[in-house]
Amino acid sequence: MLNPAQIPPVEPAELLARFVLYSRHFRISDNSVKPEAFMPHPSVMLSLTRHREASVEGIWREGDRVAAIRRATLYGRADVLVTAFLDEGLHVESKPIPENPNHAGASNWPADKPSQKIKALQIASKAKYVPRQN
Amino acid sequence: MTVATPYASEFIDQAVRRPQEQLRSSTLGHQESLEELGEVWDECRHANWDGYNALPVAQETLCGTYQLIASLPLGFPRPSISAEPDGQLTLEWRKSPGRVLSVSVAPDGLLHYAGLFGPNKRYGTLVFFRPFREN
Repeated sequence: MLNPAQIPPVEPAELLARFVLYSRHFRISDNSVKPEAFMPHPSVMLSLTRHREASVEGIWREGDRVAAIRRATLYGRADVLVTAFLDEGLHVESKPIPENPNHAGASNWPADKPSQKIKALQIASKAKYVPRQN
Repeated sequence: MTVATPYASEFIDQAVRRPQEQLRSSTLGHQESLEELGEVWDECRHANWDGYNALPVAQETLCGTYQLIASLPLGFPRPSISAEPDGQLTLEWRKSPGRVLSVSVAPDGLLHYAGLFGPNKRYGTLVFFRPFREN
């Protein structure tokens, strides 16, 4: 994971992970992720984890940690490039927390629901779903 | 040229048109979707159902989604049902990554939709029904 003392800014070519904690936010039929997984929450910022300088095991450990504190099941993660968010006019910023220096957030979502949905649809279409293998 | 008599019109109305309307409004053809709706409702009617502090799905939303599914013509492709963090339920029809329609049902009777149709995209809001109110 990133050095907490030296967090670089998020770059467009970086890969991000969105942990999927609800079983109906991905499609078993073709292992793809649904746009609902990318819809902004009431807090308006979408929580993400940067792959930068993180091992696969490290990413999964963070996913397990997130699922554990939320008493949820980690089904998998959706990997998507930062550009997918930028193309929709969203901002992606580094938002490190003590437990996760790779934590980031996508913000600048529009207020109206249909606009949020079309952006989430576009992002989901560019994402790759990676199921959690237990 | 023959002109239908009042008797023939009444016969057609009773024998054909009314049963068709009843069949169209019947939920029998959407049983699987309604069962899936029940499962989603059960999973999402409490706060934080997605692990990210999602809002619970309200009963008005459940009823509105039921009405929407029941209004679909028989034979209409079955949607995939899910929920969003703001507590709205979603119906999705997807043919491929670039051809997908998602409809969100809000508790106030509005439908918010967004769709990708190849190079085109469409999104907006429709008024579908009056909010369900418990008597």
